[in-house]
Amino acid sequence: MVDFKTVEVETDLLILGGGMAACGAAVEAAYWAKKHGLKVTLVDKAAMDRSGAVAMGLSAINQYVGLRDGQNTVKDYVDYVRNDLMGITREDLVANIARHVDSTVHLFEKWGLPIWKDEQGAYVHEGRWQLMINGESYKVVVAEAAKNALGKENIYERVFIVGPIMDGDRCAGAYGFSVRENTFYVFKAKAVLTAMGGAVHVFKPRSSGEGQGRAWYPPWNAGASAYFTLKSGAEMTCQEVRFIPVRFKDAYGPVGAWFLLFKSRATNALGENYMETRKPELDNWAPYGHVKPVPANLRNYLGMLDVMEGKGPIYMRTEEAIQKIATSSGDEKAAKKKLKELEAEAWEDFLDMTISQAILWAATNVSPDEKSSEIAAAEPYFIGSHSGASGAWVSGPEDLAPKDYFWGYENMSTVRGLFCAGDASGASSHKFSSGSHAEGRIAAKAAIRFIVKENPAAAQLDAAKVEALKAETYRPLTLFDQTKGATTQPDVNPNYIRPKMFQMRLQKLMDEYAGGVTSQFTTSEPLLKKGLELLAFLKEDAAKLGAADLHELMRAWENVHRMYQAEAHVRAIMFREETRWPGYYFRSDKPKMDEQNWHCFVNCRLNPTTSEWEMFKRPIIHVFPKAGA
Amino acid sequence: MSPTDPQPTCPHCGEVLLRLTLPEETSWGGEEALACFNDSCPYFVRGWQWMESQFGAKASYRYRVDPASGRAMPLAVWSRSALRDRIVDQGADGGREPDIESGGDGS
Repeated sequence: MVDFKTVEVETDLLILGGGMAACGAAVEAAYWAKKHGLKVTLVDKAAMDRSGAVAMGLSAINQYVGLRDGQNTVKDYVDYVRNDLMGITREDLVANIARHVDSTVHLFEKWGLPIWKDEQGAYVHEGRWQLMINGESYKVVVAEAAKNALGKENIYERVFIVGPIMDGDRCAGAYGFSVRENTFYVFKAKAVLTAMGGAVHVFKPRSSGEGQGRAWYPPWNAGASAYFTLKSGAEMTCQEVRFIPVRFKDAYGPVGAWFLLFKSRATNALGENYMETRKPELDNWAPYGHVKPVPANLRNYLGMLDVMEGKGPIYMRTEEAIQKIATSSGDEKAAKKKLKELEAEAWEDFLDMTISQAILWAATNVSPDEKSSEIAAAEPYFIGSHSGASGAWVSGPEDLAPKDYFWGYENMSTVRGLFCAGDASGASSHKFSSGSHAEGRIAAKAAIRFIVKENPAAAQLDAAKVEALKAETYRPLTLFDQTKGATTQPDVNPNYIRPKMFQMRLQKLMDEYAGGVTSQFTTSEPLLKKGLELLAFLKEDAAKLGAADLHELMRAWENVHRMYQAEAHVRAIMFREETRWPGYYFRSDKPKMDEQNWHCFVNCRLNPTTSEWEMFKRPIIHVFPKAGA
Repeated sequence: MSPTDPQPTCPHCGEVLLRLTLPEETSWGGEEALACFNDSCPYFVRGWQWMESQFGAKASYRYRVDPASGRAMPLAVWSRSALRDRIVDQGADGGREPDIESGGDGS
């Protein structure tokens, strides 16, 4: 067995993750840390230039409020988010991000991100909150600023964080391993900021086999934030609030541009538009069914009703949209020219963001001007920065948060010294890329303030404890190495389970029992209980994960992280005895929304001492008066 | 222009602004706006070249106003016909069809 060396790093603020929230945290932390002579360290399991959800690029910035031009107010944004999440949101957190996100976007522009503007310098909008960008290199631009702020010597790339290091009730660091070298890492810190993304591939994806791993939401986000915060004993929120996007089927290409720019329709196999034919269903979800825009999950649900009734496939009528635009362009020559331009735009929309969709079109001989493409609801994601809401329960800002929502430092979890941003923090939906970056900045500034005010002592870790963590981390490698000779097929061995096989078990049980694609997103208490039973077996099997090399070791731990996210999710769905987001999941045994009993947060905590789950309600306290909904 | 002007007009070409509903599927969610649909509006015409030269985009923008606040912002369009099907107020010119010229949009 290889000898793994141990490297201990002492720092003041430890930032975990390398995506948008972590990059925001880096630039802000570096600024305040310098003033106080503090050290900031960042750890990314990948390379920052292209890590996280924005790796491939984006065509739009999805959160810009426009405060300086008076386009919208903070309250406008809070109303929008509250309605889209069917009433379940932390208004103080959403407002805090909304009042800072514009400055983050202005920073992006300063750093070199091309944001579309007219000749007078006004931003060109794709939607009320969305700006158009040339964003193929969006992440590269943002990462560069973060790297320059921190300095290379303070950044550890290709290091996978396994879990937290605790000093009593305080989070005092993290441990992990290099995915390239035989090195175990122990990071000791005065405060930790976790921004390691959400989770996908917890459920069986539509795209299987070689098709699995389509990026959008990225497959490399495996629940590291959720695991870290759960294992530290932090309170979690909205673990039931997954997100299901409607996308171009199997390659997950975004549909927004088609609706807006190409004026496309989505129709079922009978040529009907479910947004029109199913409109009366929205009355059953009042008051949220009556707001504009229609909440994302309800839009999903209307389409799902068609599919469940056998009226699929649902098609995005790309050919109709393109032909309509082209033929209005004038004579045949002009129409042909316009057609080519539109076709190029259609491809480029994907090439900027989801290359897989362009590849799928190319591989199946799809010309969007000639042939419709199928759209479908994708498998569930855990993405609190988008239209999901799952994450840790964090303090709000002192000036906005009611006293029940404030405990000293904004974005600090219920664990002292553990801060959360982006997908790691919950109940603050619709941050997207820019809002996550802004939240990273907010959390980092608060974390530095925590360090300066509280001045916690460095954690004392004895050598035995370090060795125990190291052994636990590398156990899959050791087990595989010791027992691989027992069979001739490395994937089939009674002594271990490979990460790929483990993942398949997890995805199957979640799909079948917790409302995945093949269950038409429907579940019930009996199904959820069965799911928990199978998760208990899976947890036993997790102790027998086997990994052939460092890369597979990373996969092993990623799937352990997913498993914990899965359990939090199942327990939260079961605890909330209603259906509130029918387009995300539907409880057949509790099919209606129950505002009287369930207009509240469902929170939970995994007790680190007893390993027991605690499930409970927290009240929703409105910071802003509701706008007519 | 003021949101209370009886016939709000485009500051670039003087044409009456038309009322439209923005697409339901977007975050505007069916919100109403006022926009200039004059294809000869210099702001719209110049926009094609501006967007191509600055951003490599074959698009332009219409002058658009939020009727509630009176705030203006450019509304991205990919063709002269874009959003015409969403006009609800035909205005003085009856919400005329796009000018048909050879060379198509902006060229």
